[in-house]
Amino acid sequence: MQRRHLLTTGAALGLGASLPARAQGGWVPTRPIEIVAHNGPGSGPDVFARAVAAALEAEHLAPVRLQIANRVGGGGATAMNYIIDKRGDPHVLGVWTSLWMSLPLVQAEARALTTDMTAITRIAIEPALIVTRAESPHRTMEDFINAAKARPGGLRQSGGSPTARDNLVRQLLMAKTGARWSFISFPGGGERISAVLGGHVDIMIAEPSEAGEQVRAGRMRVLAQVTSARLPGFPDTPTLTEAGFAITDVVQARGLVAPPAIPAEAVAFYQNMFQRMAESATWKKYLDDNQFQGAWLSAADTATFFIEYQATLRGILQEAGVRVVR
Amino acid sequence: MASRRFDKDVLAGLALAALGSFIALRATSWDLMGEDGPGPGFFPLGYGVLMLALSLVLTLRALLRPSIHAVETGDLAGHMRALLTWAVFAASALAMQMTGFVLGFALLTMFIVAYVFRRGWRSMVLVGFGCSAGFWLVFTQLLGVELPAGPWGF
Amino acid sequence: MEVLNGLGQGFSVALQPMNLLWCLVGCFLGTIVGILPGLGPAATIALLLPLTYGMDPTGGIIMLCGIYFGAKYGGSTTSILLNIPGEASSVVTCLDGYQMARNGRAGAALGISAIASFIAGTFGIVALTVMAPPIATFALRFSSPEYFALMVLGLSLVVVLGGSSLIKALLALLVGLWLTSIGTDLFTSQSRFTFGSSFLISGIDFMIVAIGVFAIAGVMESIQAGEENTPLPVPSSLRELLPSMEELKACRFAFANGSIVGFLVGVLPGAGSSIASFIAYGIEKSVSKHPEKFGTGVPEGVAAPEGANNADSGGALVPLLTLGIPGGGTTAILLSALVLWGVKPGPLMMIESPQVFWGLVASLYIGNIVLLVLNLPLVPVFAQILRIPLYVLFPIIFGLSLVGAYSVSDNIMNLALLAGFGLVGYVMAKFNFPTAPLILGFVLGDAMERAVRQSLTMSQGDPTILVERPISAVMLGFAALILMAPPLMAALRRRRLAVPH
Repeated sequence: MQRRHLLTTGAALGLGASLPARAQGGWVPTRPIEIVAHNGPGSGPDVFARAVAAALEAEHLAPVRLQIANRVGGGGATAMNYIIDKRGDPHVLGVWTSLWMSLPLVQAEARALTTDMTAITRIAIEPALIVTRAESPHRTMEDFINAAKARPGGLRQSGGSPTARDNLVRQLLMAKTGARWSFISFPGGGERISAVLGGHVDIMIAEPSEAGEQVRAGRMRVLAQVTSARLPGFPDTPTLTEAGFAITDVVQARGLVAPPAIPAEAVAFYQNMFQRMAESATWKKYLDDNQFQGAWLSAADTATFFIEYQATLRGILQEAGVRVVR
Repeated sequence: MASRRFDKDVLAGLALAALGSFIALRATSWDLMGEDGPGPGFFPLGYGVLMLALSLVLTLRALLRPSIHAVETGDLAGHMRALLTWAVFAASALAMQMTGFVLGFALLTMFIVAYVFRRGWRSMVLVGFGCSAGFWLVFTQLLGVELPAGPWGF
Repeated sequence: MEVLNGLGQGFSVALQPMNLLWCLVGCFLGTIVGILPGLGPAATIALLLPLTYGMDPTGGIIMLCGIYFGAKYGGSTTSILLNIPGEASSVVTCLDGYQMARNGRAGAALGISAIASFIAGTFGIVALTVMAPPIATFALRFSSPEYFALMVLGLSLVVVLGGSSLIKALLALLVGLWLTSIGTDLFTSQSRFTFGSSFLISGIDFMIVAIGVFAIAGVMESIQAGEENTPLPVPSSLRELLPSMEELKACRFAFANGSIVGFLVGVLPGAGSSIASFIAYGIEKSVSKHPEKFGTGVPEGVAAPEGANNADSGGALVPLLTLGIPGGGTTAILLSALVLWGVKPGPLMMIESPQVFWGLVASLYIGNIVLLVLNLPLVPVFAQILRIPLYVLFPIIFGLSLVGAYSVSDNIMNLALLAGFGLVGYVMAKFNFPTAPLILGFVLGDAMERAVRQSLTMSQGDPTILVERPISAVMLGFAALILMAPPLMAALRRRRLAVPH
């Protein structure tokens, strides 16, 4: 950051910031845009925010400087509250993830709802893979479910917090099949994978970026994919639906959102900017490298998504026995 | 004869016993045992109970066998200076959300130079200005680290 | 033989001028980052990532690892000179490092810290080179029951760290354990002790506790003792600025201790480097012939934790480079950097990208030497910081503490907590409570609770899982030994004295 700061200050002083007239006579940002991530450097939302900024800069789509702001705290609530508090300011954006919809449902102190913010776009969906170690006796999802039915509570899944996608998928599967297996929370992805590789737990619902290399090296096996259509990297593995376990879609999505009450022309500008980014080669490469699925939605559709998905989440959480406060 | 009223161990013991009881009580309002193992209340309850027990042992031991080391040595002036400095530190830290880091830190520095070290006003202003300017330059300008900013931007 | 081939290939890559340059840049940046509170290696690496997009992966990872290792070297500087931990793993260095500075041995402390970092860092890299795949596989056998045993081993060190009153040490430990439970429970999302504050939902950050209890309380104590008129002893002659031969000899065990403990703990994903430095310090003190001197400024008390936190970096690279598993924090960002450059970190990385793997390993050797060469001559320079008059130094300490606390998350409440813990540290000192156990409890409490609950869920409630597995049983055995060591040693000494031969 030292060098970046000096370099950009020097450039601004020496050359003067230039504003390419990008928009066709509509709103353009006139100050640096702050992109807010709800966790610290290196975390999921932070890396995503930086990738977005990098892609926008590489494709020259942003007329002003982009700054990433890590607003850590409150389990994510700090960033969300910040967005709400910046009402009317069109130079602030936030990277939203599915957490932004699940957190207000379980945490009374979280006062910011995505439905109160200005939806800009949804950009990507992270699929998941149900993986097990290579030495495991389970070869298909059915094997695992049957084994779990035979030994209720005896099998184990490693995962994150109980409101995260991996537990929600587990709850839905258990409800659907009548099987029962336990869920062990580990705070870090590294520990979760180690637990599977070491044979201490039986399965994990992991992102392709986490587990893909293990699968490729033959250390892990995929039982099923948690996506609507087979991923290009895993053409031979059935989706959950194909395997016979159709459950509600628990979507782990990411996108951008703005504070409430910003001008409609600003929304149009951003929507246009991100749409072009989503279609660009730089962005497509990023998606491929990280094995995300592009899932672009317009601002209006994203707003609808917020409402619908939050309702779906509420239902799933309640069924999972998690205490819902809203 | 050691004055028991000011026996530090007794005081500490009682304070920690109160803390321990508080912790244990709060812990009981959460699940102690879930279906998969200890719940969120289990460990805090343990900490609270142990804290209560050990602090009572400490208190009793101090009451029954007062040692000269535990008696207040009466350096009230020193304590007052330290605590006043702390109070100014805490107040300036909180004030920084309104005044920004630079001004708050400058005021804190000037207080320390003037009150703790009893140096003249020239040192006070020089060091106050120098330190806060130095921090501003190094951290916000050179390194880009975010510091609390007041309405004047720094 | 494969290893030698790989290393040979690696050195030919690492010694290329561009890569050497990146190594230098990384080491230099890392040292600065380590010295300055407010800037951690994780944040710095994340901020530099965009600049490295177009870079060659080998050069890029060499630079980033230079920052990673460099920060561990630099972190001890403020710990020793100002009692401000430069980063989380340097907290333990404050215990004896700062006391050495107050005794006029600041240069020796800084020098020993650099030397220990070099020896342990090199050990870690050698172990990484030679034993990475088998160690990584062995580490997979560690799971929650073993982590629990490790935490118990760490906590048993409280008896070693406690000083004269075991009860007070235990009470301080319990307070530390309780403080970590503030926040959100991972397993149930239940908020604990947050009093409705959304700020406390994420818990209290370790650095704030450490900086408050050490740096802030330390200044308060100086003021109370009227020390503002006593200048700090500044080593002047070259002999005083470097560690003496006796000091170096006293550290022989510490160098080994720090290396091994640091590396082994570093290999385990999820075990932080502060755990490594605490355990190394605790072991050092328990085997020492003069344990009561720890905390007053003994060189081994600096060598052991400083070595441990450097060997820990080498250890953390083992699962990252051989299995693609990040240990957490900085290694997670290194992982995303590798992904960014199209290198696929995982079990196949050594085979598919050998020039990146071996190039990195080779440059770590070079980087370690660079860091030693960079840091040793800086010792006399840094020691001059003690010449700064106290009426400027105290405000600087306050200022650096504020910056460090605020950088955790840009929230004014962090500063309020910092002040709060400063008061706590001062009160503890005045009531004769040792502060090290509080920090120890804070470092381990969360992890221990998680390990127990994870283990019990794995075993469906059967507590024997915690003792029945061989690795955890061995570590629990060590813990029991440590707990029994003081009374045993005391009994042995009494018997020896009682027999008049």
